[in-house]
Amino acid sequence: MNGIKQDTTFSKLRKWYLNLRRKWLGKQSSNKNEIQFNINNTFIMPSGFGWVIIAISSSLFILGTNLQNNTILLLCYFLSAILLLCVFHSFFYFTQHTVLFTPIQADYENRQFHLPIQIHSLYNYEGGSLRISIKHFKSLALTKSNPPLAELSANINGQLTHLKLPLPPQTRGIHQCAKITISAHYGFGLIKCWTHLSPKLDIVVYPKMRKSPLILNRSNSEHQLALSSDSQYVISDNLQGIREYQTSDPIHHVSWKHVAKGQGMLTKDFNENMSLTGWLRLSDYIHLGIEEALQCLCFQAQQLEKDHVSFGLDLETNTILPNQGEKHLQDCLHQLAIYTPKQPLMSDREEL
Amino acid sequence: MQYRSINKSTRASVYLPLLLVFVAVLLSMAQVLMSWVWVLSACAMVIALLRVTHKLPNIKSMTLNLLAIFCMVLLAFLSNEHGLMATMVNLLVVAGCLKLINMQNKRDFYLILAIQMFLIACGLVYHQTFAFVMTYFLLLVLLLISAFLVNRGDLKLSKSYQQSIKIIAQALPITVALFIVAPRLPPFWQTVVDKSAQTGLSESLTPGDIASLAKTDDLVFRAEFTGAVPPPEHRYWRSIVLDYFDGNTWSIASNVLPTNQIYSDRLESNSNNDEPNYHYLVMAEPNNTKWLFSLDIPNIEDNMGSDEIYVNGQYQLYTSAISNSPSLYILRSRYQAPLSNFTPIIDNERYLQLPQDSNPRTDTWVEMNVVPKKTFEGKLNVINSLFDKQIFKYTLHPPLMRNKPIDAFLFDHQKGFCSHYASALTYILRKANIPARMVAGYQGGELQSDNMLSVRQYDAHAWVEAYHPDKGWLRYDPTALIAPNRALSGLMSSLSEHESHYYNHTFSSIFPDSFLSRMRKNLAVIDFNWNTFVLEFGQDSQASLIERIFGELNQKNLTSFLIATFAAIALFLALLFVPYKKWFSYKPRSDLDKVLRKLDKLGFSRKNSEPLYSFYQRIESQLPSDLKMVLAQYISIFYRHHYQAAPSMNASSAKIRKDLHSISRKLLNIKVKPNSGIK
Repeated sequence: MNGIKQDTTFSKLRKWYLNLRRKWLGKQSSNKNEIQFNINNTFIMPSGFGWVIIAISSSLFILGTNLQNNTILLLCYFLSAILLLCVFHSFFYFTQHTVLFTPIQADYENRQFHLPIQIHSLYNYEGGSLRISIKHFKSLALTKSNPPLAELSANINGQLTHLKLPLPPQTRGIHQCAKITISAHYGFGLIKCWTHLSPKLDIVVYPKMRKSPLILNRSNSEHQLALSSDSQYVISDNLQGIREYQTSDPIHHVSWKHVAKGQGMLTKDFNENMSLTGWLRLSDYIHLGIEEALQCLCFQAQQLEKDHVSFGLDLETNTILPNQGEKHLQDCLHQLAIYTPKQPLMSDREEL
Repeated sequence: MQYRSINKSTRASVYLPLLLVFVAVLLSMAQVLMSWVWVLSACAMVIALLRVTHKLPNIKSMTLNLLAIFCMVLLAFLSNEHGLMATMVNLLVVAGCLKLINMQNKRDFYLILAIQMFLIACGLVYHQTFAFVMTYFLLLVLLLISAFLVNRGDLKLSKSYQQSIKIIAQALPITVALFIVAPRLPPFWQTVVDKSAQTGLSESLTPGDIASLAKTDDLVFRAEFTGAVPPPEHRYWRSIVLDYFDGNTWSIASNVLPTNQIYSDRLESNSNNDEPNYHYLVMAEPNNTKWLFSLDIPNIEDNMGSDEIYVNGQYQLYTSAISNSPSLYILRSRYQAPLSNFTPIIDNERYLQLPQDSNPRTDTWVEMNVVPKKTFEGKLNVINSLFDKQIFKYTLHPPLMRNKPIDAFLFDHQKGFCSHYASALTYILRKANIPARMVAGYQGGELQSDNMLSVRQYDAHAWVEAYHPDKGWLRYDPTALIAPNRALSGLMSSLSEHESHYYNHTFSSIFPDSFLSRMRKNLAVIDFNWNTFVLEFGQDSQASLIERIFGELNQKNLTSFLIATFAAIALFLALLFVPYKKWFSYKPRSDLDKVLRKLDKLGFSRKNSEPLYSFYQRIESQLPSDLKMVLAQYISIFYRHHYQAAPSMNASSAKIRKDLHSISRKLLNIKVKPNSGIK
């Protein structure tokens, strides 16, 4: 099972088979977020116990015939009848359910992610339980290092069941939700019904937080904005912004610079509570490595938001203007999550 | 394999039935199990019980594997003694026990379940009476229910029982259909069932054997008479004739069969229906000999069993091989005809055979008292006087008489049961130069209904036949001299009060008219029907069934029979599962239904029991304006119609209804693109 043996015919065949299987299953599994189980998306087979019972039934038939013992034959037919009925009961039990996947809450890299699931059930069959797990298709590289199964056993009670399926640990970025397998052993555990589902949901994983010294730049070095030249002054006086001059405004708050440029009368708006504003720059942390740098930025963004500091984010490929509030933080974290370096980064950038 | 444990709340309700079934199945096969297997299962049971209540550490799999290997070696070592079938049963029990000791997850549970199902099947090899089969069925139901409980989720216990029993009940008709229609094949290969399987008369008899038989009330056979039922003193059911004595044991002489074939023809030609006779049907349970049962002198009229039945020169019925299936045959017995089959050249030697000097005291007594008498009757009178009621006692617990058993019985202990008496009498007769033989069989039988006798193992008996030169073979029952009740009313009445308390069965001969005896008679009738309709159901029964339905047995009818049955099963399944209620319960939809359906199609679905108005309020903002207006109008009229129409406003309510209808028409006619309403 390693790379060296990949050229043997067997491994080629296996590769081909796995590919085919994945394609087929991909076609079978539904990718809507609300799925009614029906004959088209449900697989049904005897479970392990079911196969054992089939084996017992067949050996009972041989035994009963050999000994010409009708009672043993009766037992054999009885078990077959139970098996036959269970096929139907299990199928109708399984297909009475509708599954709805709701969006996954974005979170940090080292946190536990959950897939929220709602299961609707008609009242044809009560009780029973569904087993929900994440399907890991064996990778084509023939590795055996699958992460442990995330699974959940849901006891169906009543019409609507809310569940949270723990997802395996994720790395920073934006991911497709893994394929989900839902199965049931209703009845005597003889028959297994299952279905593979691919929820059309993205998992947004923010970088985890890494403590680091705060490096808050007064200006965005690369994209000079009109206001940035004032930044020194603005920070000391807690400038919040600039707005249209109103007659009630004190005359010393008028931004004469704008008047001089012919941009009209504007008032500088000051805020007593505001202490700081600035830019977080990826380039300040890049010497730690990209992931680590993003983790530092993530931590800083959290801290600044907590301290009600207005901050901007400069990620080489993308920038977010200084602002504050929950929405702003989410935007920044999202950018951090989806960040991919545009070109090989220069790590010899100087610190300010 | 993933570890999936059974949750704690279910554990007790799942494990206890499992243990119960295990105990019951083991008990039913007690005779097959080896003693060390008993010990092992007792230990396993205790551990499993403790597991239900306490949390025990798991036993190391290494220890368990070693134990398993040890058990397998022991089984393999002992397998020669016990035979294949018994070894397999023991193996299954051992496997079940070992798994029971270390039951941890669902997989183990299912494995034990499967083992127990197979054990039940093994039980059916040994027991096929109605009561046993029903018990096994109940045990199987118990197993299935516990399998259901494992997967019940949050369902209540009582509901789980209901559901599982429902499924099991649905399986029954399918089982019956399959049983009737599935083709019956001949055995794939011959199997031998071990001797230890069932008790019965054996082909050799050392006095002492029958005492153990007296304790069981297993059914041996039933006889259904078409005419008169023989009185108790005529109910001597001949089975095995024992004619060779080695000093301790009576057995069958090895050279019996050659003469029989010749005789058998002669018997056929002699038969004459005018003579007084008993006409009866015998249904015999499988026993482990080839010998069957009949009253003298039997003539086979019909044989419905699978094996050919013959009569031999000793008037015995036998099959050519030991059969595991019950026998069913019709006989006519001429009870007054003499048993005259005797070929002096061969038979004199055979029926006078005795070992040299085996019982000197008896020999001397015979020389002194019997031999001097010249006539048959004279000799017998002397012998009869020996069995004095005052001296001899009938008992099922005689002392051991290992050395010179006849001497010890006649002169030292004078206590014994039928085989002691029969053995002694045959010995004396032979010593006195009268050809004699011992007959083992059954004596008596219990009247189950007006014309049905059932004979059980405790009716086993032994008597003597002596050859009279003119009258042929005459039956002598020395036991009857000592304990006349033994012959007339059966075993129970011949025992002293002290002894009968050993047998705590409720015998109908003791309580002739009690409720119990009536119950027992009903059970016997059920058992009889069970035998004829289920155990004996075979190819012939299938054929006759087809003939009854289609008129003729041919390939075409056979096929249509098969197809019809499978169609019936399919129809049954369709009845169970097709949502016909939903299909057939069509009722014209009300206007409201139509409106709601239209809204539903647009993506606004009313929740269950949501008031119409709050539903409207919820979706109001998302509705296209034209639809909103009409819907608001509709709802206001709807409310007026349903909640404000007082009886006095009858005239106007008709108008309102008309309005309501027209406005709903209008509403339904509004064309809305399906997605325009949904945000």
